[in-house]
Amino acid sequence: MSPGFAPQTTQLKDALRVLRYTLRKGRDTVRETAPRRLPAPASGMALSALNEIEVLARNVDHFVCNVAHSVLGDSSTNSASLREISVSERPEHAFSVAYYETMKLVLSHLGAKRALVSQSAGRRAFARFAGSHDVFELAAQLTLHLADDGSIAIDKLDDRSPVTRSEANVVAIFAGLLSMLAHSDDAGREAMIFAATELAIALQEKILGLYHKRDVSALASLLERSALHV
Amino acid sequence: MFDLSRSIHNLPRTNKPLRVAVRQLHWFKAAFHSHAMFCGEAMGCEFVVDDIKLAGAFVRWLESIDRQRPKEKEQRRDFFQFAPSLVLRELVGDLPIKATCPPACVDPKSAAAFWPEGYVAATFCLTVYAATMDQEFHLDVHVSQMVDDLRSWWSFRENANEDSNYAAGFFQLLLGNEPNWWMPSNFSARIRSADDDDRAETVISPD
Repeated sequence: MSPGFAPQTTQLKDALRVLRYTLRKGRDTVRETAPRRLPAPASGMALSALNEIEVLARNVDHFVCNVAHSVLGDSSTNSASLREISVSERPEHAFSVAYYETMKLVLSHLGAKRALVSQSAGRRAFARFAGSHDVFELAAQLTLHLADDGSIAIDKLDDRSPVTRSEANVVAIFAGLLSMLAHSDDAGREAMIFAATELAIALQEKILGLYHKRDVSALASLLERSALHV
Repeated sequence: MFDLSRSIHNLPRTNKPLRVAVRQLHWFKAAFHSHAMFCGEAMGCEFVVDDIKLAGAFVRWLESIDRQRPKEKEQRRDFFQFAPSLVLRELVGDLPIKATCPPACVDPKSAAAFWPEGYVAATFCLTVYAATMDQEFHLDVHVSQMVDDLRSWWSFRENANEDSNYAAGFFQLLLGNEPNWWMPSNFSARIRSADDDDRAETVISPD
């Protein structure tokens, strides 16, 4: 895939993911409300329509997965280390892929039942701050920016989630970037992402305090200290 | 009943020195899970670990050792010996583990049956501590007989429920040390002086 084509594919992937997200959201809304609220004959019709939507949602899901992984996939991008990404050939694209893949796991670990992550937002954010010389400062700037520009939409959060819906975005993005800063040669990527998420949950008061103060330097320092302990 | 050697062998492998690995959540968590499973098999019960609570205890422990770490190099070994007391304090303060049923394979009058969760937490700290002391200083750790003494555990549980700092003192007792019960989780006050004893008697005395 040529470098010039990459932004368009990222946007196309995002558009397909929005379609899937919207369809799932609609299906869940129908599932949760219609059959219970409608009287008997209409309720049956609603259930039948729901089955149709289920099939459509599954088909779209398969289509999005196939397109995203095969037609628009990029097998050369597999590093999730922010340091390695920063010196790679196409750092914005590499970051956007790593950001999307990491956030999927972080959000699921936080109990987000339905969420949407914008890969394009990750790409734009990285392009804006790529000039930063310090990797921890870069991570702090990305955290603040990505939390503010709606790169994540959490529509449904588990009741037992250790974070509130209003605070979940900031904690999730901090966790994702923390996992990209941590290094381990004796643990898998998933184990590192889960550990980074649990650390972010334990540190959420500090993270949110620094986020509200817009304190890049203190946030970078917290990321640096925490990265040693993932 | 507690077999320290088997418990050490059960720890997950790491390419890093244990003193480093134990301060990384992914290894700490893997080690705690592995120890809980090891104890569960030996005790005949299953344990459920709350990873969020475990991470909370881990972070509080890191903050605590950062605050108390001595500047003098000569105190490094003493601090090594003291740091796991603080882990036990944090684990007992908000236990991240729960037995799903009473242990089936231990004597009902044993320490493990009396407080399975506390037993797992304390033996976890002993295990990681012993493995680290061996790796860093080539020292064998000897655990006091009281590790299986029900009366000590009864006292430990009751006191730690009121004040989790007691757990730090209990850990020192397990290692055969006499803790400073006034401040059992304070490294710089860990050695009790004769003056302290006098003051303690003055406070306790009804006169």
